[in-house]
Amino acid sequence: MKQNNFDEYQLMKRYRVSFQTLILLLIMVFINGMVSDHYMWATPIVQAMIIVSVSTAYFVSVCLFKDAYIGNHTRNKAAGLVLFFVLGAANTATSLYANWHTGYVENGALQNDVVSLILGILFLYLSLAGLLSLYVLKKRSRD
Amino acid sequence: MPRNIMIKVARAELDMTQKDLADKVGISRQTMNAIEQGEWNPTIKLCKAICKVLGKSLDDLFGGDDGETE
Repeated sequence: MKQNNFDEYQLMKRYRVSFQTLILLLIMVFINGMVSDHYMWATPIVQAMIIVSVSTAYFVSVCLFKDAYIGNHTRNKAAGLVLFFVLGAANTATSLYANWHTGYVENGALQNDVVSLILGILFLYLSLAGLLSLYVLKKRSRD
Repeated sequence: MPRNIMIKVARAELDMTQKDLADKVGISRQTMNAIEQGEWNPTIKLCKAICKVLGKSLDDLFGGDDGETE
């Protein structure tokens, strides 16, 4: 049997979560379109980044919860997550340091400087959620 | 879907845990658990792989309605 990284049950769960993520993405795009039409709350790049980040966070969280995010044959599962954590911490720290006095809001709208902060928070969240799920899975298989 | 206790019995005969069997078949422990609990109907390819590891026939583990389910 060919050794795929995900087995068929995991793939089925991923397809299902992918579809939910697509629906969530479409809903957010629709709501954002309605809101931005009346009030420009952020620059278009920031709007796109927030929508993509929320969708990504949803997909990864649900896949992690359903044990369908990290493949069965992935070597050193924590390595990638630690790299994510370092990247996230660096992004968040540099963004906060650079914009500490100026802030991220100008004329009532979020500016492009906030993108690196959003990415930093996303990476931090993904890495911590991944490490937590690895710990839970390890504990469960020990029981 | 009914639970498949024949896999559990065959596994117990070989003194294997769900994790051991899942590793040998190349799937996750959660998938093996879903198959045993009857939450997931595996493909014939996966059924064959499980049978091969447990040394049983498809009929023994996944055949008819008599005996293998509860």
